[in-house]
Amino acid sequence: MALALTEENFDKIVNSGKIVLVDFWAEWCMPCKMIVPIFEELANEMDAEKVTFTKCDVDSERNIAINYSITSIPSILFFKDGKVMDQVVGAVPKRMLVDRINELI
Amino acid sequence: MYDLIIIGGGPAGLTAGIYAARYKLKTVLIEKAPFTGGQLLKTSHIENYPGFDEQVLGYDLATKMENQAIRFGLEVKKEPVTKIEFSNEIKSVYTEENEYHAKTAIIATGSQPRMLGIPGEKEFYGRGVSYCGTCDAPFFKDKVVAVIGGGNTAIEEALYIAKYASRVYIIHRRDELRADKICQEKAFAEEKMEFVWDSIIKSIDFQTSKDRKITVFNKKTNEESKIKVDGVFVFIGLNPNTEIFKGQIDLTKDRFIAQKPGEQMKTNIAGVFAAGDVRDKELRQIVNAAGDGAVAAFEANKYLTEHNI
Repeated sequence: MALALTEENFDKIVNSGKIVLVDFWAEWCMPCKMIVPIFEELANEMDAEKVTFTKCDVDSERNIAINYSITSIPSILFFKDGKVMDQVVGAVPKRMLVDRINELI
Repeated sequence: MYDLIIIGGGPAGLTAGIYAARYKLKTVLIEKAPFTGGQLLKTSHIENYPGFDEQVLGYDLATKMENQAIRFGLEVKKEPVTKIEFSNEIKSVYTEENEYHAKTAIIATGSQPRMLGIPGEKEFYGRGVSYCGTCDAPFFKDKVVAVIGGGNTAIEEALYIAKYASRVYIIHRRDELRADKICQEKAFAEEKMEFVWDSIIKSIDFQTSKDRKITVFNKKTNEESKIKVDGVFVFIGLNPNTEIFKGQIDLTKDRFIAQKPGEQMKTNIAGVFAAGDVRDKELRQIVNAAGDGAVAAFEANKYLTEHNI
């Protein structure tokens, strides 16, 4: 299961030393629903020691979205050591996410 | 071996799937996204699809179409197609993990929003530049945005965005809108809208968070001006998803699938049909995408019967 990212746990999670994917979503965003099943699949399939899958509700966690200038969702940010290494916008195929993760590992 | 492979799971592909399944054709539909629905998923409220006297959500309509097709026995795969081979009698479709073979094929890969191709567009995609009002309008609550385009999609989306934004500039290259009259009337009545006629956008500069602006060129006066906006929404038409068919299927100069008048969804290859937004036609709506899908499935069935294969 993708972990819910909040302002409270944000720093701790993105600085954990792992690759951290953040799926920015909102209840009203229909295309965001497309990402959910592949994101959950990946969270189950990939090595949890290396990659953490999180989701961030842009309505309840508005400040995180603003800090990273998110204006389109779904958007996925890839963090490593607290830094944004990559970003994809829109509902993308699973393979593309895997490739981008593997580039960072 | 399948009787029919349908590539693409928007309204055209799903409707073809419903019809083919009811003809009892052994059919597989291959959709690149993890969800079917195609462009339906980017549409918030649909007002012109018959049978829904109240608005229907694009997402709900897509889900209903898929459930309906599956109920009749359509097989649905969520895999991006990487290669096709249509020149032999048996049509082959390859995805990253699998290959599929069938006696007939329907191309229903649709299209996606056309890009402006101007400086700043790619750079700020997802950080101020958007192609989907439904997805992104709420980010621009009480902000100023520019909408590029003057067709139905542009104006409908602009009206939706105006529910959130404080001001919406419509930047259009002509001096009148192409959108239908009912849409135009709504737009002209909306106080938040400001029309910038005869103008094209030249660049997007969202470098600093405080001084976000676009450069606009007026074709009549030849004057360039800057407009302060927080976001840009682009609705200037569609690009067909036909890359993988190049060299095998005849395309128009705009890369849509070429159609001869009276040719019922046929392509240049016998047994291969095209339906929905991907084919060369003027009106691209959900209702006629569905209509195309029905005709394509009918033609595929006819082809199978006539060729006794």
